[in-house]
Amino acid sequence: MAEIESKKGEIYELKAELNSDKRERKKEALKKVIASMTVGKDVSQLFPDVINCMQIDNLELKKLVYLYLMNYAKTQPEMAILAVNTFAKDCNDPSPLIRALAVRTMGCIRVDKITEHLCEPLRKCLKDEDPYVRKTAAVCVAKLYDINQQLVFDQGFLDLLKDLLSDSNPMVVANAVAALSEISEQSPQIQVFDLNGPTVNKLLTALNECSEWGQVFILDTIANYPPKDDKDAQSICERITPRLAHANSAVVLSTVKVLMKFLELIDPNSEFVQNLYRKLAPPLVTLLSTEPEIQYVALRNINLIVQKRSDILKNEMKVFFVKYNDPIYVKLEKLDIMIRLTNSNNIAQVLAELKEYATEVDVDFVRKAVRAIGRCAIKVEPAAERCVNTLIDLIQTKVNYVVQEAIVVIKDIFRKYPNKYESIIAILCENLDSLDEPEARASMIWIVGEYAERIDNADELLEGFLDGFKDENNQVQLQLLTAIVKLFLKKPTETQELVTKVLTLVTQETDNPDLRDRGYIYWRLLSTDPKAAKEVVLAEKPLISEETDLLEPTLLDELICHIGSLASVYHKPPNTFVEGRFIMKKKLPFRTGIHHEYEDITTMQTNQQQQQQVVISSNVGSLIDDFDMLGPMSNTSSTTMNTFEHTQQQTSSAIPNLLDDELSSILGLDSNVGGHQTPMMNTNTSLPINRLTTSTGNDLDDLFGDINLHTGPSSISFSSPNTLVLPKEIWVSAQKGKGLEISGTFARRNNQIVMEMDFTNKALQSMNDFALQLNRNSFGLTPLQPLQILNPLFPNQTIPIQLILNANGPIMKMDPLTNLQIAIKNNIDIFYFNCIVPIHILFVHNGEIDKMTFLQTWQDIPENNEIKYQLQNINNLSIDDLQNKLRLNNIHTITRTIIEQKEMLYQTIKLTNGIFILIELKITPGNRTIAFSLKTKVPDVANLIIQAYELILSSN
Amino acid sequence: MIHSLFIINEAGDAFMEKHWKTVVSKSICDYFYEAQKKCVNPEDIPPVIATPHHYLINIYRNNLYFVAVLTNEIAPLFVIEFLHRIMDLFENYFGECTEKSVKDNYVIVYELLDEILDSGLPLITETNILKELIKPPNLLRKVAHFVTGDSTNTTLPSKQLSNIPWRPFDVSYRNNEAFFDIVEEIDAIIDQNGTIVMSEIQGYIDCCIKLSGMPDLTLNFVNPRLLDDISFHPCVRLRKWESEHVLSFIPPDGNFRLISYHIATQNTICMPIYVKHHIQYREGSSGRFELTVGPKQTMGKSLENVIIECTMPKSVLNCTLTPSQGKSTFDPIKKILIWNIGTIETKTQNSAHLPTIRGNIILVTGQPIPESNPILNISFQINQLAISGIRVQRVDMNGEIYKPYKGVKYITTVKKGRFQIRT
Repeated sequence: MAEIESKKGEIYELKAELNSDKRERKKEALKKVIASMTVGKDVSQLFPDVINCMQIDNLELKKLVYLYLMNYAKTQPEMAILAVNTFAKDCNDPSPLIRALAVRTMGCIRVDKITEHLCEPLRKCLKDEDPYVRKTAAVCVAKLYDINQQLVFDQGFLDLLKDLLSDSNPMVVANAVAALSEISEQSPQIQVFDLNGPTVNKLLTALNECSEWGQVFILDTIANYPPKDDKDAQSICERITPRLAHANSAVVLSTVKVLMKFLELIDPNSEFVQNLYRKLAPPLVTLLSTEPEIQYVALRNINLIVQKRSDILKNEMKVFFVKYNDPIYVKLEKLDIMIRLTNSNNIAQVLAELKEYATEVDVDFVRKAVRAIGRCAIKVEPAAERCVNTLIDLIQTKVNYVVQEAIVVIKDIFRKYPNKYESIIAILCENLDSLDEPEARASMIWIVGEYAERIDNADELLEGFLDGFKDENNQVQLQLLTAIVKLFLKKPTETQELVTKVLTLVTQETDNPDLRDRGYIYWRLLSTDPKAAKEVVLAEKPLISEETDLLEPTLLDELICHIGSLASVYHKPPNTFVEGRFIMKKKLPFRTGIHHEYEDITTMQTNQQQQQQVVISSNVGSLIDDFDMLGPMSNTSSTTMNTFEHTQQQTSSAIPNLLDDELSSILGLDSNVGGHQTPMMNTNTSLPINRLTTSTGNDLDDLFGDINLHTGPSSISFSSPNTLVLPKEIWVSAQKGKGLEISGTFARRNNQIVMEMDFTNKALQSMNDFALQLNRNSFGLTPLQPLQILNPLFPNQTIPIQLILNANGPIMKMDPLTNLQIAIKNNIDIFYFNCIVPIHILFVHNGEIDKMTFLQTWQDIPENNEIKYQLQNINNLSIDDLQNKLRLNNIHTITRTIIEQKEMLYQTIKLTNGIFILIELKITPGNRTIAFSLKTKVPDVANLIIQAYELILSSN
Repeated sequence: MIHSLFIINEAGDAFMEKHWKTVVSKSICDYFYEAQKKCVNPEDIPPVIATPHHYLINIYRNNLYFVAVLTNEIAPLFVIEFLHRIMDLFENYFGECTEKSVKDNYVIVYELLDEILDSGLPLITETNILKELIKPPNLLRKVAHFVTGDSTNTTLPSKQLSNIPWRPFDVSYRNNEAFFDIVEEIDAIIDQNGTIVMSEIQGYIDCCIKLSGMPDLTLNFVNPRLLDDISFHPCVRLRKWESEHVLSFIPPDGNFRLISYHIATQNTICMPIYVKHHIQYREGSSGRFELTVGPKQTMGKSLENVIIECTMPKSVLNCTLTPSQGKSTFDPIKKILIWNIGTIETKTQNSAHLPTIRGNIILVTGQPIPESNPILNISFQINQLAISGIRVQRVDMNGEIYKPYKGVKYITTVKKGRFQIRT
């Protein structure tokens, strides 16, 4: 009660003071009001009294009133209207300071009636003569947009704001950019900026003179500009590079973002890029000697940069060494980057550091350090042994959590280097009792199961674990089940009892469906086909990849576009965490050049989790091959069978049916093809697909095509002209394609360009949702119809694809000319790759011209367009054969004469885009060298034509 | 953009809030408190915290947390830099930025916050301009206040939109002076054997410029090539640096940081100090502890304010140590040993006279012997020496006719806790 009284009293007192005649008292009272407001006290009751103070012509007082208004206008809209007149008056004040203040304050008051009155003054202020007013007004448009979007469109404020991008004052430009960014952040679907060359140029000019904050906005905007070509990108890079030396870390990181993005467009081997790499490292390192919060954000971004372009920081390992008094979030990030930078040159240093960290006080950090040692071992093969020794040293310390972490990573090391370090198993087993964390227990059990044949008392050990089976974590239970089955397969005689025990336990006494089902599968496998069981359970496991912890490449590329943003801190694309907003997916620009940057990224599996699944799936279903031969075993099998039937009866009848179906399908396949289920499925499914993707006549043509090539010249060739087809080469390796391997070639069949590919699934999951896209290219090649693969592609299956291309798509000159950029998508990812279209595929069949035209054209083309070359007739073909062979590939001989005992052949080629190429061949009998000269209006293709000739002549 | 700001003290009391758009309830700070609870040390709170509808970005400085609330995607560094800038500004206005100084100056703080951000976008952040708009609280102001009854400038700060927004145009001093402090901080880790694991130098040139009018200064270095990784104050002409390696600039008025630079680890620096250590635990809950400190490569300058700090393992109960020089204290709760040595003269090269501390460590009975030896944290200062060897050749002034007094000072020091010796 007393408190409320006193509060009332306080308000009452303030009210009296606000209404005092003395200006001084008024001001003091207002200050008290503001102070109360600042700490979150409600002083809204004083609204009318404060409004009254507005009339006084004193800037300080006015500002205080405005502060109050901004806070409380919303709660008292009716009263707030009273202030409108004063605002209107202030917007015409001779002092720019007051004009700006008025329009700024009005923008902050979110009351409809006030907003209506804001439009006119705002329009005037956007064109005010004073830049201070203009820059304030620019921000005000963004505020208005926040309150009422429609009003901004209706009143044309957006265009006025865009006009400010060309303002003479850099501060105004910067604020206009900031306001526009804010608007586009709210409504990404609107094209707020028209980013073109001239605009960017203006922004770059303003960049040098505006405030540091403005620089951040401008740089972030420039990052969204797609440069026209590599020259454009390079010149922008040159202009912004000095920003790397800015004292404000936000400016530095925004600059880094633009550079990282535009670097994509520039030839990575150019001197420019190498120079830029040198310039990028120091500012990034400098960010690490700033406040810890800045270090953290910088480290998260460096983590991305190192994954994308590890060269930039390859010599800077030492700056990532951890200080014991770094905040924990900095320590963990530094550790991660250290591992990414580790290579065989610096591993010794890194290991020494990691060992040091493993003795620190902070438990979380110590764990991460131990894990890091394991990651080093997997990453740097030559140092694996040293890493293992370091881990052993750490295990000897007997510090509980260190031992557990060490065992978890040693399991991974075993996976990576099988049959190399098993000698240490004994040391691991000594620590069995101290393991109390599920992951460590599961890892230890895995090791025991995997190497059961080398551990004498493996059965005892596992039995020990089995005692407390029900209290174990699910992960441990699953691992224990598999381990015991492995043990049984390896030492069947001694362990029957154990395996029966565990199978009974999981099938009858557990509620976990995963565990129970796995139990059933093992049981059934063991009882029906022990050989298959062995093949499955003890199958060779895929090696774990060294870079399992890398970000997935498309995600990495997207994140590179968001360097410096929250997305870069979370390593997640913004659309996954920015609430309720539609975000344009940003992509790195695509360089129109030779090989693309995906080469350095080798990710098979993206995370530990997935690996775990891989292990499990390879273990599912399994048995022994010498099962039948061993006498005592039949006993086991019958017992198992019996028990199994027993359980079947016990459980509801639906389950066995389900199991039967599943199992018989797996086992059926296994028994047929001896463990390799895929070839059979392959033959089953690939035929229909083949028919689907190729037009009906083509299958026959295929045959003829092959015959043609093998039989060489004459007869059939004219009826069905098929050109030389190069053997398929691998376009996407399974490693790069996350298990999808694509090999392909180009052919010309029935006067159509055909892209022939083999898709092979080398992953462990089936693939579907395939789609293909060609980038714009020099000859306008586009698919005639979309890629159609109706059935999923199963593991280890290969399907041939034929895709007919036509040449009337959009054109973009590539380098080399015949370069074709292809994107293939499936349910796993999108893959980009380049391939070269052999130019002879583009020779059309109707490229013949008559002699006169030939002569005319030959003379029309200037002399310096003539290209001469010495061709080798490697196979020593007769002139007829030669002619036929070329004819097959749509190189038409127009006429043939003998001049000075030399055979002269005049030939033409027409490309899909209508370009004619005229060729003269001079053949001296008995000499394998053919004098070749070529004339065309487009000399760019000349070298490719020469290559085509050589290829055709050397083909069989 | 920055939506709101809360200033929170270590006790978890959000004693100041400012909203630039709509009001965000104070309860948003609960997410921050939650993160705070999980951390042992006050500085361990992650700088970016995600909540269902907002992002919180915080900085920790002077025992205060500045927590910014954001609603949409914005560069976190932008916010962090900005928060630090606010702290700098408060320090500049009130001499220090503490809970007390903020509370004492609520209205000015509020006015400042309103002036530096408009709707979450930075408006004016240059201290010089702000000081013209909002006068700092000082005695003079109070006097002026009584005389005129008004303390706010009603005219637009004149130079605010010129090309040199950092300098007011009507500066005038009776004594024209320009002081440059070249401060270098060593950041290093040294291992058990005295090998340098990593070392780097973080350098600054802090200026105190009191010059009238529009002086145009040029700073020449004897060896500018040492500096290859620099961050410049916006006033420095970049082209001039790139082409001639001189710092040319029209300075802001008063104190500011002209450049900060970073000299990397590749060319290992000569350490000015070394420590010989002998720490051994013995069975039966005791141990020996002995340290000897000596100067090394100091170019004849003495080491001042030498302090060694050492956090002992948890199993250490107490230490009985006697230093040959200075004072030592051991805090048995935090397990921190502090040995305040004072000055080490270079003349005492004779190892017999080097400062030494030795004595016994008593371990908690029953506890295992500690795994590892403690890390030593050393701090010291050397005057008149820049450890990197950087030297100013000359300072010139153009644009004004008077003759200023110019001074350059060199200091080598250690950033708190950044010089570590593993034992």
